[in-house]
Amino acid sequence: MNAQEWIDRYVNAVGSALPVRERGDVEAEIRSLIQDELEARDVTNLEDADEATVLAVLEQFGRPEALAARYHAPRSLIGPALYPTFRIVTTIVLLVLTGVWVFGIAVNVGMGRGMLDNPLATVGGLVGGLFQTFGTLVFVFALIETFSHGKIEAEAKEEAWNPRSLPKVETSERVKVGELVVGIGFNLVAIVIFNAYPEWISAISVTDGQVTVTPLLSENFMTFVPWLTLMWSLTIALNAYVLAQGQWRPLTRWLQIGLSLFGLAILGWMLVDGPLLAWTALEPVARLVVAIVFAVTAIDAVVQVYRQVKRQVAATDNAGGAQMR
Amino acid sequence: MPEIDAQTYENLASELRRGLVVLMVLSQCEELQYGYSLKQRLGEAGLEVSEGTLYPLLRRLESQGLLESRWEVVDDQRPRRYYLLSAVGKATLGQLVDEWKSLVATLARMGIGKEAES
Repeated sequence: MNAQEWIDRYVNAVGSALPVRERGDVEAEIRSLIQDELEARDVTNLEDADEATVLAVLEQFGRPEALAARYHAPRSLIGPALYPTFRIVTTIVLLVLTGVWVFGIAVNVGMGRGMLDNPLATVGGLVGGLFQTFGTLVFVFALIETFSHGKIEAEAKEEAWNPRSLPKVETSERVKVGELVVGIGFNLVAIVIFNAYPEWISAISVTDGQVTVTPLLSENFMTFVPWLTLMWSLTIALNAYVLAQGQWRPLTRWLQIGLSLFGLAILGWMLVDGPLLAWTALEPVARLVVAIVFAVTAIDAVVQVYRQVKRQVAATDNAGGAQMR
Repeated sequence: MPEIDAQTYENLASELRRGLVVLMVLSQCEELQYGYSLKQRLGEAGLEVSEGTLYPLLRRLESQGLLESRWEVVDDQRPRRYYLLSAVGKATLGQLVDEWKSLVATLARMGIGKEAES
């Protein structure tokens, strides 16, 4: 290959890493600078230049992409000023989408549309939907980044800053990862079993060597399944969010209490409504179990409210003490 | 005596030089310069600066209004870009020189560099 071809290759490699509007000018300048360097090495005519000399000069100029980056700093798809907003929006949208999806599945299953006949396809649909939504969000934020031309960042830097605008330190508790993960697992299993395989909850009896399988759950119980599914889905979403945050905050604790109250409402409704089991002989046992769960949930909710109020009062006292100092 | 590794030292020294390169380049552009001639002048004065650093810096200083540039045809053959200090650049150079003198005075008050003088 001759000298000119090597120079063309190098200049083209630098230019292709630059925005179109700057490309022509920078390419012309680099070409001229390379020729100056070659002239300094007594190469006045490119046709007479030997390959080794040209390659030595190009090596001195450095990697094309590194040189291009110095001419034009690479831009971010989503810059640091927009990223926190992007993260919050993405988390909320994806969690809501998952919750709506699970609720939709539960309603469809409840109406006998058999959405869980092919669980892989259904879950695949959710994963596809999540990726598509994530892609759309990235696209929208990238457009905002492109058309703002870094103005958001510049404005954020120039804006007068007052230390008094610093947010109050919220009391937070570290999460017990295992507890949250197990919670997510149990809720998922409950969603799958009660929606897709309610027949698994059956009584098996053997009479004269004949095995009889009797489904336990009544038709009336199945009307509660969409509501239970909504509660389990919201619990999964909350646990996942707290896991991602790495700590409980007052808002998430109150949401947890809200979910406990929602659960109590469903359990209470189950206790006053018609039969829970198809096998009437076991109905009193089932009601007793629901009543115990109701009582435990109610006590837990009261304890949670008490602890949360105590934490917030302590936090307010600490803030007051800090101000006094 | 324990020493830091060469790469870390080079990074520290490079940080120290970075700000001064702008001052040195502006000072040399009071006369018309093109990329390679400037690199030569800086080298002769004792500052070795790579092509990948110097040439993009010239364009950045131009975009900041400190330098002006124009293309000229050399030997009736090929174009070459020349740089010259702008009016804003001259004023800024004066301010930067004052800043440098102030830093040197601060260093002297701290006793830094005394060993080199004595």
